[in-house]
Amino acid sequence: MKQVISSFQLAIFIANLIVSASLITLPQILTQIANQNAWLTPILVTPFLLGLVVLAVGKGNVLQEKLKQHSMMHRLLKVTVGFLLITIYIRDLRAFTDFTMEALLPKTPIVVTMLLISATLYYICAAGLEVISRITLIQFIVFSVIVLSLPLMLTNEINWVNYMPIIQTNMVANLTKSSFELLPWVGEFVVLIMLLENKNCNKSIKKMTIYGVGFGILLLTILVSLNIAVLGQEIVSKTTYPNYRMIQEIHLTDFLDRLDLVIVILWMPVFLSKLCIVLYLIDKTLFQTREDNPTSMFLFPTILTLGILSMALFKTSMVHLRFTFLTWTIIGLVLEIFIFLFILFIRYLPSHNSE
Amino acid sequence: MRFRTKGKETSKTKQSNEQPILSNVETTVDYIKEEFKDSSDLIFRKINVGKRHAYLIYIDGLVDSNRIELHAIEQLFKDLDDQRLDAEMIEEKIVSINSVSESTTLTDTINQILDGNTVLIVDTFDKAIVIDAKGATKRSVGEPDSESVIRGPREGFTEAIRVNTSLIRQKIHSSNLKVLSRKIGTETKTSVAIMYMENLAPPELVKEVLARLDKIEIDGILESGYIEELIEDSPFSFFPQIQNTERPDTAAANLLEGRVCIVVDGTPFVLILPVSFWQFIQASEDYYQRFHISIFLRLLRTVLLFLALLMPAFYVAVTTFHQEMVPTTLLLSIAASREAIPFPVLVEALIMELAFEALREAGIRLPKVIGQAVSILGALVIGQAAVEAGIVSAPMVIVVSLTGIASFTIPRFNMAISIRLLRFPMLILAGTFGLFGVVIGSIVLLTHLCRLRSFGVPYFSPLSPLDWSELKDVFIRVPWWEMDRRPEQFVKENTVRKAKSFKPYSEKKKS
Repeated sequence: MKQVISSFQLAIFIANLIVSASLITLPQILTQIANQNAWLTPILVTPFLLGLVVLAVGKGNVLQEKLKQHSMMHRLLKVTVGFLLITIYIRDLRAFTDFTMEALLPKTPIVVTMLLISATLYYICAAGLEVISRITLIQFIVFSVIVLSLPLMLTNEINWVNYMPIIQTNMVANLTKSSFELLPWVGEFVVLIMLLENKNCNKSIKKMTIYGVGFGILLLTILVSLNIAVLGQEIVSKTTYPNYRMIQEIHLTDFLDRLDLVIVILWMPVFLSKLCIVLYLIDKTLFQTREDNPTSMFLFPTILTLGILSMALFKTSMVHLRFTFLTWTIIGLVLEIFIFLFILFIRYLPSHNSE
Repeated sequence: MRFRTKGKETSKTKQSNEQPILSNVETTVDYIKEEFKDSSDLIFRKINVGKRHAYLIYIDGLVDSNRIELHAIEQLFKDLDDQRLDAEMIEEKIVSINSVSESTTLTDTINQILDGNTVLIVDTFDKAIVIDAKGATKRSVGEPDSESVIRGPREGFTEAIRVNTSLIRQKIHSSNLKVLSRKIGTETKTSVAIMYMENLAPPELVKEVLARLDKIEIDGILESGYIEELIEDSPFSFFPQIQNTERPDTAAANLLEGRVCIVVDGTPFVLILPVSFWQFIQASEDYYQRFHISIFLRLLRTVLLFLALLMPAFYVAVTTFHQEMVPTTLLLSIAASREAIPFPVLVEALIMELAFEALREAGIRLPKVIGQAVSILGALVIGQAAVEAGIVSAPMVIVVSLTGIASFTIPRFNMAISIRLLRFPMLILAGTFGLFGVVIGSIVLLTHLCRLRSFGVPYFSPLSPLDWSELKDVFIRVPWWEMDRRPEQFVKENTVRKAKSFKPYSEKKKS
């Protein structure tokens, strides 16, 4: 039976892909480049992203139909998306295990954490797309409520002076560079193009894509803004996990001043949901699952291989961070540009089925 | 006790399957005597009907002797015209019992006797007359022990299937309420009634239920729990996918929402399906009390459900791995109480949890008179003694007690025991991986709940898949005037429960 998702679930997937991994370390590099104006970066990127969505997706129904065909272009699209997904998964898995070691389990070997995560991801992915979408929905709603209530929780800690000076001499250049850094991260949602054939109908694809992008960017903007307002650009640009540092500043009462780990354990399932959908798409894109089988037999070896690669490719967390901020930015951007071009070709060129 | 013989028929049963009633009454009686050899409770009352020999055959203890004497034997002793005497005449003009039928085969006759009916076999007749005068000792209708309420009906199901179906009939006076019968179990031949509302329950659901029941091949059904395990979608899951209830009002309410009830003879627990996870934290009283208190209690139960599952794990994780989460004064207090404890927190928690479970189990087995006193004293004395001996710490006793109290607030016992069981793996995960382990365990549990189905209905609905309009009867209970539609995951077509515009207050007069 074909697995189907609703428009709302698609929007949640998009928002999840934009925000859940970006919040780990991305604010640091954005602040290093754009200083106290880093909070403007997601806002500046949004119109560009939405324009690309309108151009590439259109109403969505034409693209949905065209994607069901088979041609060389479709294969190239799948391979490119698959490669992007693999890089995203390796990057994010290592980021997650490093963060878990830092915040929760400093004495547990990283390999054990990776194996535990991989086993959990396998169990979730094996359940199929519908289950992944359901758990993502529940967890993301809870996470969104937390993020939207963070400004209230941190009201006492916000220092508006940290935003000063708002206008600087090299502000435009800095914002351009930080937008360049941010774009491949928020552009990750383009991989969800492979889910269009699982969408239950062809209505409201464009609308829900825009909502998903908008909501994800909103959450990211809130987080980056709060980072600067609470910690200041000096601390944010030097802290590896600025959001984690920020939520440690929450002080509601004398009793409720250690909510950081509570928020972390509410965020973790959201991040794992992102990893799940990425894995599911890797399996679907590269191994051509049958409709009556949610996953292929290559899922488990894939998860294991990618998990080992995430450990083996990066000797230390610093090597991983350098890869994330510098190398992956270029890789991600190039791949996303190719994906965008392939989508345009598929959408606008006359349809032909070369099988 | 094990009953696992599947589908074996005795050669005797096979042979007599189609054998008709013999016209010679003595031969028929001899056959039945052979069939019931060494059964001293089978009574053969020889009488004369007209000028013919006849026998009334019944099992002592299963029939109402007074009714047989007054409405059958006394009528049959009257002077009857032997020329015109036949089975129809006896059924229609002589025997004055309200339910009389015929049986033409020996097997059916034997089954009727085993069912508690009285069988009249007359010489030269090729059929037996079955007189329904059942009168076995039955428990009277009283308040159910497992689901007592402060406000609401005080009647509960009993072990007699016909009493139970009649209790539901008394609630729903509609010809749409259908009752299908089955007999399951090659030896027990337990009567099972499948009840549903024809205009509400999806036909494919009823068909699926019947198909699963018909597939059961077992020699004995003694309780509805047998059927539950044999027909549920995921028998290996910790979570029950079929609800059971002792209350007729609960059964009737579920029938009115398009569900199917399975009534099993010999047990007061009626099965309700399909079911969702959230039904197990709903009590029937939620719908009888005012909605304000119902909302409060529902929310409280939801919070306590999570506490019952996660509190010990959370405590173990925080005190073992993440002490920085605890406020300093509380941390010092916990550290001081744990100073002399030789065990790690995980072992301490396991000791206390297992002791609590043992105490709870022992409390069920003890006679009611002393059971309650012993379990309370045992909890107090053992807990206090253990703390003073330095085996467990006082905070751990508090955590385990609060967890126990939280688990008692879950209205449905089968869900409560599932949560009790799941607490242990969560404890072990917390003790091994701290809060990360708790997160992993929770995600796995959530995934399992999201993939579970109960007769095709997603188990975690309406939360997953999310349906905002159905949430009005999950974490809260909106007032009755807002519940104008039936749950759409169960009833596909006839979802309107009442008029949408109905409100309980009168319109304001126009000035």
